[in-house]
Amino acid sequence: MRTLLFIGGSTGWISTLHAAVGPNVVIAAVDSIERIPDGPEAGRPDIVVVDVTAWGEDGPNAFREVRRRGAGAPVIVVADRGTSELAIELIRLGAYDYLCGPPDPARLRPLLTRALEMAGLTRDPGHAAPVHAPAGLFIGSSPAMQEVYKAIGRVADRDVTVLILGESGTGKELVAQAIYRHGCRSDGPFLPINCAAIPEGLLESELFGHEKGAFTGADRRRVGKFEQCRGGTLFLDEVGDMTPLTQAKILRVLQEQQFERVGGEASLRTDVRVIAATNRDLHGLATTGQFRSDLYYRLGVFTIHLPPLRERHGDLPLLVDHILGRFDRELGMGSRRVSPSALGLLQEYRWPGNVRELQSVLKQVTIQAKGPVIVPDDLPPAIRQPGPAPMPTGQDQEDGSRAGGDLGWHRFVEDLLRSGSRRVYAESVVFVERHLITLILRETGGNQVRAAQLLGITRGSLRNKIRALGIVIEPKVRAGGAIPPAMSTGGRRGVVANFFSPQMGGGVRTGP
Amino acid sequence: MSPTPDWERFVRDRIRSGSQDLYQESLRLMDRYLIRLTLRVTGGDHLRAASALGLTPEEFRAKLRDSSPSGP
Repeated sequence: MRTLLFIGGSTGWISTLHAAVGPNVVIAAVDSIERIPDGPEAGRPDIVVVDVTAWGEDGPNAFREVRRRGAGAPVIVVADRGTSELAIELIRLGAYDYLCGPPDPARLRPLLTRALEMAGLTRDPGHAAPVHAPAGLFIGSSPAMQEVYKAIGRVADRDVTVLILGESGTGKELVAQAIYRHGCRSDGPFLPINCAAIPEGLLESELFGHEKGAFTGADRRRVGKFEQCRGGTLFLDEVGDMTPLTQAKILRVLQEQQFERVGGEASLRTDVRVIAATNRDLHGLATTGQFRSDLYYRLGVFTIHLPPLRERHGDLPLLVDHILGRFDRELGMGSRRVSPSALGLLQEYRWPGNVRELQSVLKQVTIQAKGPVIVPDDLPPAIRQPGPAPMPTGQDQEDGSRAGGDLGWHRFVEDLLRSGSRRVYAESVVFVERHLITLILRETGGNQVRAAQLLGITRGSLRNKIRALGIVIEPKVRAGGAIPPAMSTGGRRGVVANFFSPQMGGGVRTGP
Repeated sequence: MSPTPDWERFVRDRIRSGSQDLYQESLRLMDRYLIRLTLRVTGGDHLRAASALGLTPEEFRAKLRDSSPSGP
């Protein structure tokens, strides 16, 4: 049985919490911080929800006291009315999440579910998770994952830099959060930043801030993440994608604990724990000079390798059970289970997208399946196909740069350039359009209205492109019939996008 | 920045962030990488890069400007 501690006087919130968490969570409520049970015998709640509607100036101190008494449980802040200043401050101080507005079970439920999973994850990282343990991505007791749990436990409260290596979809940010929650800086903020998602020119200012007038458009001083995160933990995701300049600056911060804002003269001292992650082969990049080797060694003081799903022997059935259970709660579609033959197919598949891919496949299947039991016929063709599963993403491991979902674009353009083509731009646009539209149609299950919305183009324009690019939305081929060769054909002739469309029961294919 | 964009991740991240302009966003991302890659292959020669891409020198310069580091 799990416990939720609510702090606040409003009975509206208490009844809403009851409605949101269901009967399996005990709710303890106190009307003030002083009444929170304290001391070693008090028993720790799994999550804390605090109503800050009536809080004033002293909010931050009150919040620290809540965190202290909550003994490391995730704290969710709720408020009837908007108090954005306080909300920002509380998030900065490490609140797990913030919800503003009148009590509403539908909005609280997903938040509480996540927080409870997080609590399960961070409380007992060293223990094998039982089949129905409410942990998130870290379900599993395979030896490979046991090593990860132990590594998190060993490194969390040593104030050192940690490097997390793992393929995409393995849960690197979750490891970082677990280290943070167990670490000596868990009272400080946790700030994640994806170095690959921020345009090159903005990353420096994002990390270090800038002075007013540092460049065109810098009309006021900006505080960067290193400054914002004082006393906390900074999670640098995709560090393998940083430019040499940013690498040099990060190295300096790590070595000397100081940095300057862009366009600024004053050196600022920092007090931040850095956790870095990448899905690229950082050692290889350092060897070939694409990544500074001094920075690589500095980041890799303590390295955690997250295993890909295909190496987590025995974890897949637990993960499937857990994920289906969660969808049952979240989507309310009734419980589903997987037939032994379907489970066998899931275990044979290589899962290039790891747990994230498993989740998305199971979600599609859950929405699509006609009965409570998922049978092989319900699974996407890539998984139904015997033999080595073709990878729809065209993952090309011979070159680290292509390991991520590049779809072969780099090679395509390079080949064109070397062939002396004089219309590389137009060819590249066609390539990108074709793959983008295929990806989006896959995402929307073939729904063209929704796809046009996401793309920001009209339906007519999307229809024309689909026709011009030769994208085929084909009917589903039932097992027993011929299964289309769902694999990358490479080159410029187009790629068969290998997926399963929930709405249409069909596939989207980009033809020649 | 890696030599090649991770299209799948980009699309996923942008959908999650609620983007409704993925077409233009993708072309802008492509521009950034394409300009850089072309310049690498032509050894930094802007004119040759523009000609390989099939762009006028003016179009090329505009794209180069839009895709290089500036302010937020």
